[in-house]
Order: sequence, then C-alpha cells, then structure tokens
Amino acid sequence: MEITSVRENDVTVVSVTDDLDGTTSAEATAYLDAELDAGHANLVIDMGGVPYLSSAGLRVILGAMREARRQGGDVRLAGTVGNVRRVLDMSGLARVIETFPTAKEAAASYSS
Amino acid sequence: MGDRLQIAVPAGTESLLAIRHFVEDACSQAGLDDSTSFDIKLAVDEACMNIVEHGYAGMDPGSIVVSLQYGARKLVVRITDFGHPFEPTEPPEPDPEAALAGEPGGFGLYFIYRSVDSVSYEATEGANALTLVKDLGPGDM
Repeated sequence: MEITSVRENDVTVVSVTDDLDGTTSAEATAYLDAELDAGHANLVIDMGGVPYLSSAGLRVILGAMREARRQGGDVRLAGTVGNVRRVLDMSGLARVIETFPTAKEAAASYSS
Repeated sequence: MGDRLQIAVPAGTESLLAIRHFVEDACSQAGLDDSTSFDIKLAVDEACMNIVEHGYAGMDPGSIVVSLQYGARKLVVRITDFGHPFEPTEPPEPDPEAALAGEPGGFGLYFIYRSVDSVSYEATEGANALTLVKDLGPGDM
C-alpha cells in the first residue's frame, strides 16, 4: 500500500492509496501510530484513493481516533465516496467521525 | 444454478486479497452491478477475516475454501474452514461510541448480515461451513 503524509499548520494529512482491510491494516496502523507518537494529533485521512474498506480498516481509523482524541486532537476523513461511504454509514461511525469532501476542507476545519 | 467456482487458500491475512479477487471475478462473470458485487465481497471478506483471526486461534492455521455458485435468482457462497466451530448469530447494530472507547466493535459480523440475504452455518466433523445467499432478483435460479 502507499501512504504519504503532508504536514501544514499543525494538521497532518495522511493519504492512503490501497484497500483498507485485513491485508493492509497492520501497515496503516503502524504509519498512523508513528504520526501520533510524534505528537501529530490533528489528523486528516484522505480516503480518496481507498476503493475498499472493511471492518479491519474501520478498526485502524477508530484506533487512531482514540489516541488522537486522547492527545486533544482528532481524526477527520476526506474523500469517502461510493462503497467506502456505504461501509462507513452502515457501521454508524459516520455519526462520530467528521467527514469532508476534500482533504483541504478537512484540514481547514481544524482552524475554524 | 451455474458451475461451481472454488478457491482454497491458507488461512492468513495474505490470502484475503486473493479471495476478494476470486469473488470479484465471479461477480463480474455473473454480470452483477458494482453495489451487489461489493456487498458479496464485503460479506465474504469479513467471514474469512473472522476465520483468520479467531477460527484457527491457538492452532496451526489450516485452509479456507470458498466456493461460489450463481444463477439468475441468487448467488450462494459457501465458506469452509477446519478450525474452531463458531455458529454466528445476528448481532445488534454496532455502537460507534463504545467502539471508539475501545470495546470490540462487532462490525464484521454485522456487515455480513447486512450485506447478504441469508446466513446459515453447519458444523460437521472437523469442518465449519458458512453459507451466504444473496438474492439477485426474479428468474429461474
């Protein structure tokens, strides 16, 4: 899987390009843990490059969100469309996670 | 019902992608739309992930056999493993607040029940078979 991040104005945008599922969850968790260990707690996960999301992927997001909130930050999602959005809605997590159409808008939400 | 397609893989997370591609190919052969294919893929993936995580817990991982058959009216997937028996029951709707607090989400099983029309389980000597049925609409099988 490909994961990259860009940090600007105390917000870290993590872009994931691959399925977020049982095969990639360990790698994605390690990446997000490293950001959180560095104190980067205002996170945006750009899901625009994620065609498939399963419960294992949801656990990655939830785990990061738990730690981010513990540090006073948050995890906000961008680019959740189509089937990925359906999974998020079905799980009920759409009620506790803030989602935005684009990573730019998600990042800007931290300063509003 | 059409021919039966089958794949057998080791029960590890590294096999989940191969299983998903197998299901994807079968759904495309069956001419299913993207949303229906996604439902079937998700249900099978979650069931297989459960087998990988819990089915072979504490024992040498064996295999997962996924067989799939479809007709005009329905698609049937049978997932067989040789680990611990586990009879699923329909779980309640997940509580996202509790999951965020660190409790097990119960998402996987919930997704299976939400994504297909029928879930049944049968344990025979040493083997567990989970059968998922997705209704595809009117027609003769």
